Formats: sequence, structure tokens, C-alpha cells
Amino acid sequence: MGYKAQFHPGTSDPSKNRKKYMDPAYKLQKIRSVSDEDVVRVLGHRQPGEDYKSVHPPLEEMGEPECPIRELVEPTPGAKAGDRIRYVQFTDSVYFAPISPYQRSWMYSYRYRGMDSGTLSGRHVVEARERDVEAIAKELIESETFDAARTGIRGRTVHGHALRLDENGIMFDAMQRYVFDKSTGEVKYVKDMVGEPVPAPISVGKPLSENELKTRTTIYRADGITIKQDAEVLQMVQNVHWERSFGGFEPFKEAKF
Amino acid sequence: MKIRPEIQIFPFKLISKETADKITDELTRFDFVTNVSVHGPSVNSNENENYMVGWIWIEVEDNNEDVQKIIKDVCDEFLPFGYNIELGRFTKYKKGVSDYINERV
Repeated sequence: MGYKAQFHPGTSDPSKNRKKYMDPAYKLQKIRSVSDEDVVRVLGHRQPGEDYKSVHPPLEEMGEPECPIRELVEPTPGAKAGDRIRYVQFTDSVYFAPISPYQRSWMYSYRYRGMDSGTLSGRHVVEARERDVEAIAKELIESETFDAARTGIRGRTVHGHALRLDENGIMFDAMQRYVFDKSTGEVKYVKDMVGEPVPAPISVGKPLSENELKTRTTIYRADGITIKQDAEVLQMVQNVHWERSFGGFEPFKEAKF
Repeated sequence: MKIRPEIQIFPFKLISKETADKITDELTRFDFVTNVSVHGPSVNSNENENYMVGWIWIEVEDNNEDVQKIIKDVCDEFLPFGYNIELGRFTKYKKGVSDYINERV
């Protein structure tokens, strides 16, 4: 009998979306296309077409010591070439963003190798070798986990995930990295991740509608689907809370919820 | 000293400076409005200092139903996405201790 991972409890929409994103067998839906060059420009770590800077020679030239683990684990393309470590950081609005930082961490852990992710309340940073970062960033920006209005690519001055949206429904950004083009209805990046201007605006497409976002989100909210509507999720949260609070204190006693 | 009441407008979306200016212009036309102040997070676009508005405080001579109705009409026109109205005192109207120390007014 094969064991099939559930990834996340529950049957509600946010729960289903969480399961989807965390399941590495599920291919993220591609809803927009951004060229490789534009991804490099938004990240701002190097100029498009510029060589990758390296911190060590390619692994093949280095003559690695004999090691069963090294034989077992295939290095990522970036590690093979000796790239620098670079990062990409996303901010997710609390207003029904398609994904939130904590789920990003779960999702990345199931999907990507050779990366280090950091979760904060409103943003999520992932560090990896430069060409791996570019591949990860491209996949994420093009996929359904990115919304033009509720997700931001921000290296610094990330503040704004919990602020009210602006009149066009765009998440607040103090550096105004992206602007809403009223004539086309698209969101365009006019600055890179750290706020340096880019040569030409980079379009990331139209924001999704409120209803569409509510079906795609992984966030439980009082004005959407609350966590109380999903008994299994609530049970898990209470379990975790109990385990954390008591941490094995008097284990002979049954947990009371 | 008469302490005038203030009416706070809390829009459900952060509004642009331009929209806030329109509301301010509309409100300051009325005699019963003695002061309108706005507050919100600042943004830097193209190196220009700019800000978005999240709170509007309207100081009025006297708060009554007519005044509130007029203010609500103005808000309905410019804030179609909704807002909250609250009555109280939200900005400083006299010197505080630190103002005396710093010799600010």
C-alpha cells in the first residue's frame, strides 16, 4: 500500500490551494510570460547578457574529494558553475494574495533544491546561486502564485503588505517600483527590486479580479473563508498550539482542546 | 478655549494626494469647516516627495446632523469604495509638554 502525502489538512479553497502549491508533482499554472532579460532586469543583480560572477571555479575543475554524499547529490546548475549567492524577495498582501510568505517557505522546500528561504510576516526571501535564483524567480513570476497587484518583487523598503490597497487595488509600495497603467489595465515595473530605474517598463500583466483572487488564495480571512469553516485545519492549528505550549509537559495527560 | 470637534474619515482604500485635495477643496468651501488635515504614508516617485492619504480629519465649528450629512455626501462622491466616519478629536489643538521644551508651537 503506497502512502500518499496529504501536504495540508482541510477541504476548503485555501486549503486545496495550499495542497496544490506544496505538491511537487503539481505543475504551477503559467498565467503570464516575462522574458529572461526582463527577469534579470527586475532582479538587478547583473546586466542582461553579462557573465555570471563566480566565487569559486566550476566544480569539475576543482577536483572534489571522494565523498558518497557528493556522488549522491547532483549539484544545481549554479553550484556546478560556482555562482555567487543572490536573492529574490516577494511581498504578499494580506488582501487575498495568491500565496503568503509562510506557504512560500513550504512550497519552495518541496519544489527547489539548493536554496535557503527566509520567512517574515509580510515578505519572503529566497537565497540561492545566481542562475538558480533567476530560474526560481522566472517560474514564480510567471506562475499563478504571483499577482500583479497583490504581490510585489521588493529587495528593500518592503513595507506595505498590511496597508490598505490604493484606489486601483494595488498594494502600497513606498518606492513606487510598479505603476498601474490605466489605459491598458496592466501593472508595469519601472524600477528593479531595489528601486533603481529600468530602461523600459516591464509589464507583468493585468491584476486578477477580487473573486478570482478569493478562489486562488491560500489565506484564511474573516471576509473570505475563515479557518473556523474548516474543522480539520482548526484541529491541526490547535494541535500545534498544544504541542508548542506544553512541549511534552506531563505527557501522560491527554491534550484538551 | 473652545475645543472644536473633529470628524475622521477613514477610507477603505489608500487614496491619492489628488483625490484627497479634491475632497479638501470641496469641504473647505463650507463655513462650518475650520480646518482639514490629512495623514498617510509617504511614497517617493521619481524623486518627488509624495504621499498617500489614509486619514482625513475635518475640524468643524459644531457637529450636528446637517454637517454630517454634507460631509457624507462629499465622501460618497469621492470614495465609492467605502469609508468609516468617526467623531472625536484626532489632532493637536494646544501645546503639550514636549512642545514647550522644544519651543515649538
